[in-house]
Amino acid sequence: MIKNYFKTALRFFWNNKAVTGINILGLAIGISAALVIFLIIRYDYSFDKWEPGRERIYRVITKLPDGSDAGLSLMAPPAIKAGVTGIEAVTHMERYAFYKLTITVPGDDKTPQRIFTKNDNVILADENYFKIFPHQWLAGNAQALAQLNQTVLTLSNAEKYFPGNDPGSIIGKKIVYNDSIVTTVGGVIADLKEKTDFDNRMFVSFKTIAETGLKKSFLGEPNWTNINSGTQCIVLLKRGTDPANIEAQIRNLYRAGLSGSHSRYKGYGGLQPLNDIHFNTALDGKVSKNALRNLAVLALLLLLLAAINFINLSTAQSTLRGREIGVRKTFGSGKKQIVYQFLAETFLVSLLASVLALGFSPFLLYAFKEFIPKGLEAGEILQGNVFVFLMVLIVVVTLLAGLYPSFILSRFQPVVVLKNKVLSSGKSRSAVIRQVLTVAQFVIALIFLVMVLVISRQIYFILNKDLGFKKEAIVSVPVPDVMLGKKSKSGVLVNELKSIPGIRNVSVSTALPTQDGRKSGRVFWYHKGEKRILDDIHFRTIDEHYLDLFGIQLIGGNNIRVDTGSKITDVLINQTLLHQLGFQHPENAIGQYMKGGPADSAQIVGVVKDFTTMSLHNPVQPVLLFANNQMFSPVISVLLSPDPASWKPAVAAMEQKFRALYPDKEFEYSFFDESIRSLYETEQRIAMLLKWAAGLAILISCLGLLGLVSFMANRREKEIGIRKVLGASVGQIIFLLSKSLLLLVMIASAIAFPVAWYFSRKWLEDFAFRTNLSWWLFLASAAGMLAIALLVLCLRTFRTATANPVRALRSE
Amino acid sequence: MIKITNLEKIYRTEEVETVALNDLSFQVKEGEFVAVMGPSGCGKSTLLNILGLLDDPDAGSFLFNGVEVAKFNERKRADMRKKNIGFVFQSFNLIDELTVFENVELPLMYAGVKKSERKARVDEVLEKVQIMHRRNHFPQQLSGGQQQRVAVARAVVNKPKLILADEPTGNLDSSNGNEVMQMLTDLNEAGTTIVMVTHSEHDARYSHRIIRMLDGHTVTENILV
Ligand SMILES: Nc1ncnc2c1ncn2[C@@H]1O[C@H](COP(=O)(O)OP(=O)(O)OP(=O)(O)O)[C@@H](O)[C@H]1O
Ligand SMILES: [Mg+2]
Repeated sequence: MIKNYFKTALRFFWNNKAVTGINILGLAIGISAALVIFLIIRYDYSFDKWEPGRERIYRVITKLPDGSDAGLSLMAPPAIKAGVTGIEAVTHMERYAFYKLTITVPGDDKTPQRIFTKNDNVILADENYFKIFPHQWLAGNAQALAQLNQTVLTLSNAEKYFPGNDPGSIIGKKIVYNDSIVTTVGGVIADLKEKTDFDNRMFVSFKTIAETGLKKSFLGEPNWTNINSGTQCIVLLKRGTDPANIEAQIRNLYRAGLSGSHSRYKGYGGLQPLNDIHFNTALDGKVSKNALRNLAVLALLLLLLAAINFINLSTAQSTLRGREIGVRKTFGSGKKQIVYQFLAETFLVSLLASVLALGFSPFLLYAFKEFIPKGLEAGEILQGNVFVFLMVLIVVVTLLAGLYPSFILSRFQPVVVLKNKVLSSGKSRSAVIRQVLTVAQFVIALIFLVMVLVISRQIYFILNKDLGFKKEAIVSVPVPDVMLGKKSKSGVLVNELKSIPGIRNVSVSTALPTQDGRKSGRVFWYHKGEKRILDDIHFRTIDEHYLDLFGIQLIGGNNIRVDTGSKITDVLINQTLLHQLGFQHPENAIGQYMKGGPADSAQIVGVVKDFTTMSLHNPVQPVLLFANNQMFSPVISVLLSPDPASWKPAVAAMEQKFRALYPDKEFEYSFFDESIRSLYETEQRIAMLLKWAAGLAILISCLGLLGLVSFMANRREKEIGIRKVLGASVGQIIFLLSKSLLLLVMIASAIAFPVAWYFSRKWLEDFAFRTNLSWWLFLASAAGMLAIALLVLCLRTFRTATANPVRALRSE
Repeated sequence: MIKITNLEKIYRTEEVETVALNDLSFQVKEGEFVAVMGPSGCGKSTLLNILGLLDDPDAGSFLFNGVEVAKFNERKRADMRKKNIGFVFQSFNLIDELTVFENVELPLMYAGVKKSERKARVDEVLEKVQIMHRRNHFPQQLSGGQQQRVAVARAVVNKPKLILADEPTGNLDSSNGNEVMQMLTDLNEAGTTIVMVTHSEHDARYSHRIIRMLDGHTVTENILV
């Protein structure tokens, strides 16, 4: 019987190629979008599923009073090791201890010494690390990390640093970090094949730093209020231990440690489950579950649109099937069998669509490339549970798209259809439902369209807003050392850069005017004999060229003078801070004393006009611009000539000068406008995604529309023929066929606009600086939608409208 | 085999009520060949649909083999129909997407007959209606007469006790029409009961008895044999 169903279906498809093609194409687009989104979601959910006892693994974090989560204090791990019961293993590691690391492998009589400047995934860890994250040992063992000056590395790293040696022979060889820390290889482990956020590949024993004089310079002052996201403490709870109990114990440790410090910094300890680490973007998570859920909703919407096409076209076509159903029923078919038959048919369409979808997927992978994690490859499409997912998807789509039409079809009465009368479908219930569904499609497409316009406009706005400084033709280069005065290496570099033709100005600072994230802290203000505390003030340490180079406007007082000998540092404030101090006029602030940040004592010498300090999600922050007397890891900013053609040689010349001074370091540079642009990567990604979503939604809907319109045009061929014989013009006929469409778009707009308005506003609320939601955005979307719909309509109806009426009438 | 008494069928549309069958009563015995005649719109097709359990009457009784079927629900009617009744229509009503063979096979499929047996039985009837050589063609590739022979084959393949034919020759020329009538006569001689609606006195003469209808009512019955 099934064979008979499929046979009938295939022949029916063949006789109705256009509509079937539209159905398959629409579903294929929907299915491939769903497939790609499934791959992304599956990828993200496959992280850290390999650790034994993973449901008992937690990361210790600090929960700040404002509700946010942060890293950890250096004090916490040892305290937890010593004072918390119910834990099977604790490991302490430091992720960002080695910033801009150079690794040297000393040579011997046969091989010369080798230097590596690109070294990733290097951490400090103790020997317990491998109790929680077990690796296969190829040589040596975990005890290496319990000793001083030991390195454990993965096989791939072993091959990188000691090519041609087998793991066993590497044990005991030397690896030198930053020309100063000499370690011995104590173990080689296999690389992890599983996906993990703990992709550490080189381990330096924790003691090497923590129990030597290196501690302070590497890790800073150990202090319960000093929280660092690089400090990680992972615990494996004993079986049957309640995490809440451990959390309470940790909180007690914090309470004891924090007693006496300022409440603002009083975080308390908390546990983050292993399976939250990948998804908690407030910490270092890669992607939020929210984002994944939105992607899933997107996939569902696209599938829904395709299903709507199918439903609309199938019910419209059902008049063509009426006779067949009548005959089948007359000769013994029950209702149920008709339902099965059309479900089987829908299944066939979904199956064909899925095959096509597999072919589309590479394009969709490209479309979603901004959302596709680096580790996810096109090859995964053809693997394992993708097929299970596809089968499930096919079944879901079959039911979603097929159930309603098959019920409609199964309800046909043989007596009615066998009468050879054309079924009236003009005002039938399924015709009304078709219109409702078409409106639903328009609604979805319109919402996407409005969102695309709103987001694109906001992005245009933030990228073109006057930020209060110049951003074009400025290149910045991070300098790999602490700079102390003009005689230091970087001081020399600054002077050398100035001599490069095409470089207009050079400035050294700790930060550019706009900065990703916070560089803020507490300062004290001595006012009228009183010491006042100012929290969360943003710092920049700058030189005298900074204002000029970035075009920051001085509205009172003078520029700073750099005088490293002076005990009192010059400092500039911005308008926001001026007002925060309670002053209206710059003159009032000038001469005031400050303490904190990089200066022991500073005096306000001038006030600058507000400039954007962080991304435009945030309002302008209060800023202190200190004169440079000491900088930690500074950046050199260079103003190039406005002619872009001169940039390449200038940067090349900069690199040459840099390499001459720092032969072992990587030369990195970035254009300021690009860095600013990258602050809005998330927004641009969303815009990109929405553009695709809107495009696909409109494409699918238009396909459906095309199918419906050609169907109607076919059915009304005779009517149109008669009207033309009676003198109707082509324009009148097209209007006749499209006026109902106009109404549908209007209804859809009325539904879509409030929804789109709500979501747009919600999205815009994230910005301190935002465009307004103009009415024309909505109008433009509706007009665009209508234009596209009319275009589709005209494409098809023009043929009917211009056809020779005699032919249509004679064919009866 | 068929006994209807005081049968009534009324079509209601928004404005008008059409009484298609009005207090209609008659019987058909097993093995009979009955022709139903009357002017257009007098309710012949309506009657046939009810006899074929495609439709239900609004009032009256319909005994089929002694079972009251007038109030059967759709499922029961479908079941009864599948087991007992074959149809031939004026406009053939073959399924365009199925071949000759598959069209004829259809009733057997719905009756749940096994594949090997289906093949044998379909081939047998196709042979009988002399359309075997066209078994893999699609309906559109056949002449009207050939299509109606296929339709007859489809009606008889499940060996129904009753065949209902609504103007089976209406779309055929006289020689094709005669062929179909001969086939029906042969079937009747083999024991099948036949009720046929026709406008043609010539065709009606193949039957045993003519029921003449007017406005949903029998007016006369002519017994021919
Ligand atoms: N579905 C329906 N709705 C409303 N009225 C109907 C319907 N079907 C039939 N009728 C009416 O019922 C009456 C009987 O119709 P029926 O088709 O039985 O006539 P008929 O005798 O078969 O005519 P013909 O010889 O033209 O085939 C007619 O007046 C017809 O208009
Ligand atoms: Mg009739």
